[in-house]
Amino acid sequence: MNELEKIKDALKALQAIDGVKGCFLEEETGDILHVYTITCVANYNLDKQIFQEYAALEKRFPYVSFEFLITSQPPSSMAEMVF
Amino acid sequence: MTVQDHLRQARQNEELAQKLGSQPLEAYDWAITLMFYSLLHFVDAYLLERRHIAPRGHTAVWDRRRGQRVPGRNDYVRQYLPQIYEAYKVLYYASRRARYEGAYFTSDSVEYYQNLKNNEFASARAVFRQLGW
Repeated sequence: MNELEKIKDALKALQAIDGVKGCFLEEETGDILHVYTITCVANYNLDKQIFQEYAALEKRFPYVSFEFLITSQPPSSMAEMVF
Repeated sequence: MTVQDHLRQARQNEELAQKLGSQPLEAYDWAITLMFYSLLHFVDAYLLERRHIAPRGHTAVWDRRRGQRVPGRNDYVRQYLPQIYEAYKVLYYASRRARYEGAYFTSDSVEYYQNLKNNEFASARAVFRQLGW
């Protein structure tokens, strides 16, 4: 399994959080990886759970430049759906 | 901007955030945005004074001409201010959502704002208070 597949696999942990509707990934040159997590509402406790997963991902893949976002809107069509 | 300019802007944003987040205005989207921009200017003051760095943007970009990654402010916070990194990023995400998605007009917004103010903003602000800022 290559690194990107490992990251996608790790992102699936977000699925277990109640309120998370989806996750997308977009690669940029230079190991910059945009992660979009979709939620319908801005809820503090929900967002905190997602941030914890993001922090775990950054610790696990310290050499990747993640740009995380929590959004209610699906990203551009360039982004790949993780779930 | 000088270090003093950043500090002045940071404090002004902090004061305005307080006003926007309380009656009669209760504009939580802008209060959240201003809290983030208060922290951003404290960060910029710190980076300029201690590291002689003036970040050009929030996030890293790829410099095609030089074939290298240019770090953004978020990267510098992670590297040089790890004690506020989590709080800073939470406010960064929240302010983006406030500006671009109109996310804080619901009944949950007061609670969201209060949590950000009492947890993330307060903890990061305390770090800069220790510097006398």
